[in-house]
Amino acid sequence: MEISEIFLVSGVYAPLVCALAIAAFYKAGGFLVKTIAAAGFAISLFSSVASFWKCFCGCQVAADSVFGQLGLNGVSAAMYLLAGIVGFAAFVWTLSSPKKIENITAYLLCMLAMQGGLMGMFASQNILWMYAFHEFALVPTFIAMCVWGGEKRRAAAMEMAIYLTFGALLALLGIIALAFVATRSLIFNLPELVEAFGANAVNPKDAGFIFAVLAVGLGALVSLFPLHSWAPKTYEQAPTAFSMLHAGVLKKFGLYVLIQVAIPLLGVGAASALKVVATLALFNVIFIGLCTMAQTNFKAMVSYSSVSHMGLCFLGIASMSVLGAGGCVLIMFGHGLSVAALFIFAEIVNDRFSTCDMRLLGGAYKKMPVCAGLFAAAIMANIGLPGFANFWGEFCVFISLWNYSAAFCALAVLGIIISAIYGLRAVANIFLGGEGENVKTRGARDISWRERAAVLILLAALVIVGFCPRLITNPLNGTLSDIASYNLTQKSAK
Amino acid sequence: MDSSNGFIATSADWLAVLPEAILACFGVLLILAGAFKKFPPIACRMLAYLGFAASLAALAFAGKESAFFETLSSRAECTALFVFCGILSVSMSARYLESLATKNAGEFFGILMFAAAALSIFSRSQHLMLTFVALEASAICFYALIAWGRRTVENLEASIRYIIASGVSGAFLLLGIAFIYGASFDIGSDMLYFGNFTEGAGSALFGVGAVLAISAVFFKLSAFPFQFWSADVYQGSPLPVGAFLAVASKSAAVFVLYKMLISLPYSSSLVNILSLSAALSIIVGNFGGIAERNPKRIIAFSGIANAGYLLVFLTSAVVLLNLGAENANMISLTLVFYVLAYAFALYSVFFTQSLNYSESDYNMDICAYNGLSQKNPLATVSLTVALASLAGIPPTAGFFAKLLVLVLAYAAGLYWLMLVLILGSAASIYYYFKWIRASCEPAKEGAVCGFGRGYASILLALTLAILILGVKYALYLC
Repeated sequence: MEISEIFLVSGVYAPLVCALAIAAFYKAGGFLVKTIAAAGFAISLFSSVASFWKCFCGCQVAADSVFGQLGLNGVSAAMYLLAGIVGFAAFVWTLSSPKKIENITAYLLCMLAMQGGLMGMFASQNILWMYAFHEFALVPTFIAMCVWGGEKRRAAAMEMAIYLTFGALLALLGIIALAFVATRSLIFNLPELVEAFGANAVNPKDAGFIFAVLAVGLGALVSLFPLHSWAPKTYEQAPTAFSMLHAGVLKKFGLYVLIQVAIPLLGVGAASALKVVATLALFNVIFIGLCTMAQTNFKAMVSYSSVSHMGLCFLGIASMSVLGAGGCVLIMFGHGLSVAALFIFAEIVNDRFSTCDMRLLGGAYKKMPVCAGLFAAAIMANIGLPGFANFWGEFCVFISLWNYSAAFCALAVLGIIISAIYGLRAVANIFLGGEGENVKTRGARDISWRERAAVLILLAALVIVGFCPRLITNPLNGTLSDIASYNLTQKSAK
Repeated sequence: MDSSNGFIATSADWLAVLPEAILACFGVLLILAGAFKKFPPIACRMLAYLGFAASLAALAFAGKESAFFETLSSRAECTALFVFCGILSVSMSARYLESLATKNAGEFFGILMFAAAALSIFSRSQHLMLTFVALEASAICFYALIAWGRRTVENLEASIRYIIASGVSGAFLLLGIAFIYGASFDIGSDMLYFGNFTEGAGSALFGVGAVLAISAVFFKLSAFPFQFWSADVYQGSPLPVGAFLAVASKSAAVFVLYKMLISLPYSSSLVNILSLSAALSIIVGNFGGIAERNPKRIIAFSGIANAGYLLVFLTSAVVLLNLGAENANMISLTLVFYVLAYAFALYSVFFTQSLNYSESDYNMDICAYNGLSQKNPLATVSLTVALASLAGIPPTAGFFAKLLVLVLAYAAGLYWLMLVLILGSAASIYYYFKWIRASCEPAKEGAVCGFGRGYASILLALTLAILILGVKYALYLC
């Protein structure tokens, strides 16, 4: 077994094995459990960075495991890295969280199980296992929401579970059809499927239908309008670490499968269905964007904004170009990090001032200057200002959209304005201006070093990719340029 | 039938029914042992285990063709499933029998073994007359088992309900047999044999008879429109019996139905009837389950939904085998896999449920599970895995079972049924996850969780079986 194989496999195994270890030492509690969990998250972070680096250097990263074939390409390497970083940050945050978490053993157990699912779904080369890992991560999320969630957790958790299962099952129909239509048998391995699709072309009408089924199913998973209603409630009610993991990583699954599987295999047949998807995605950008502006609760605002940003990702995919799909991956990467950071700030604000209601806040800058600075940075990353990873993603998506349709591009750019309005207004309402009701009455301490750690990890990744997007785009470009479906309009664009 | 040994069975013939014969003999033995007051219940239990083990061992000798038992299929693999269910139900019944004042454990185990033997014959039969006899034999065992706690109204009520339902089903089957027998006179061959069903193509008399016979098995399967009895009966039966009824009886029905359906002459109206019944079972089961708060009733509605999924499978099998036998292997594999996955998950749930010490579970609300995670983490985990398997969440066996059914339905071109299936599955999330949620949430202030510890090794084994069956099978797929 080569060293790169060990890296890749250990990233998927480590969280799951550590989860089992915690289950075995359930009664030991405290320090031992935290150490085991730390090992699980650290190994998956290390594995994701190492595998990503291997991939960046142009090496083949693939391995066999109990869960079928694992392997990374330009697209999955970026997402794998994202899962590793956000998972580790969520763990660091869980340990330093100002709110005491009851029964932290079970909490970490759920987190590790979820992390195993996240790592696995991006590392797997087998569509069925991608699906299985994604669905698997749903159960710990549900349990965590029910036990540690906010006030309205019960209904929100149930709504999430039903929506996501429905979406996933619909996508499963699409996956079965996908495997069957090309091979007439049960082959779910991606490389073999690519070969089979290359050997016998699928009737475009069938391809369009299969793509439509996949798009609706996966759309529900990524909160595509009008199947989005579960998402804001879920993120608002879920405990912070799970909001980070879900909004940051798990939700990206639908987009990932579209980019990695659906469009490369179904190609031209997907074009007409993608028009509908793009139109719906505009609703995400503008309609949900406006909903975001109307939120007075900061955590709800972050939740809505994450739904709204997914619209841009869909628009990037809809353009069916290397630039658009690559931009989408970059947005997913940047958004995953920035939204995770914002959820941390939501908890900090809630802890210091006992509310996230922005009408009761204001002028907190004087009491917590460092927090205000970091907060502003995270908001700017979320808006997509230069210097952060999100900027390059949005930039690429808009260029590709211009080639696709100028009208779509013009409307989509409104999304940036909207997100600037609500983002900057949040900064103003919480940290600037006169002191709000809850700020006056509470002597808040600034963000402590322990609390800073998780935020700094996320912001560092954002800034590094923001200044050196080549890290992500080089392998991405290599992978996407080889896929015929993304190069159909390339010539006319040039 | 060879006239030379017409009515005399040779020892080779007896080998063909050895597993069932052993079960029946041990049943008699246990009932006799139960008559002696000094024979301790634990010894009865050991004797029951021994009987099941002997029957399992005898499976090695079964599987031979026998001219004498020509109405019996030589394939006896499904017997293993009933023995397996029997063993689990015997283990589960220890606490239940203790809680009763009467100590006649031997009788309970004996009748359970008779039921297992009858179900085994039922699923092996390939002649409608034998099907009828075995159906009635198993039903009589269940009457007694369901009404075991004679002093409680619930048990008696459930038993009466079961008597009525299965009486109607027996009548349907008998009427069906009469019709088919009548049709046999016109055609001139004994169409009560499954193998001769194809000759009935085009005969209206045979068609009516076949529909009646299938309806009778639908009763056992609790598939729409014959599902009405199951929730009340499950709710009122003792847990070990409920589990046996839910798993063994339902699997036997599927095995028989499978054999009958693939023997019938293909017609599009048959496929339409089956798919309609499948769709309605899924809808009734899943949407009925949403409103329920009693664990046993939830299981019953989930059982109706699963009968619907199994009917989707049977419909696809009928369509595919009509097109050609290339998928035959995959079809039988799916049947076995589905039934196994269902058995593991359901027994796991029933074992957890039987850890409830506080009250009768007849009126139990699902809130009684609050606090289980603190009191018994292992039971919570195994309950979660089992319910996730029933809900079809990977990487459990239940997911792959559902996946296989979906794949077959896709191959058979039953697209709208697939859609109904996934809509039903999404709806079923509500009551399965409601249960998971109840078991994870802490007990309400002042309330004490009425669950205790126990069955740790069995729960662990069943949970691992669900996961390993899932992951291992997935490997086979990939």
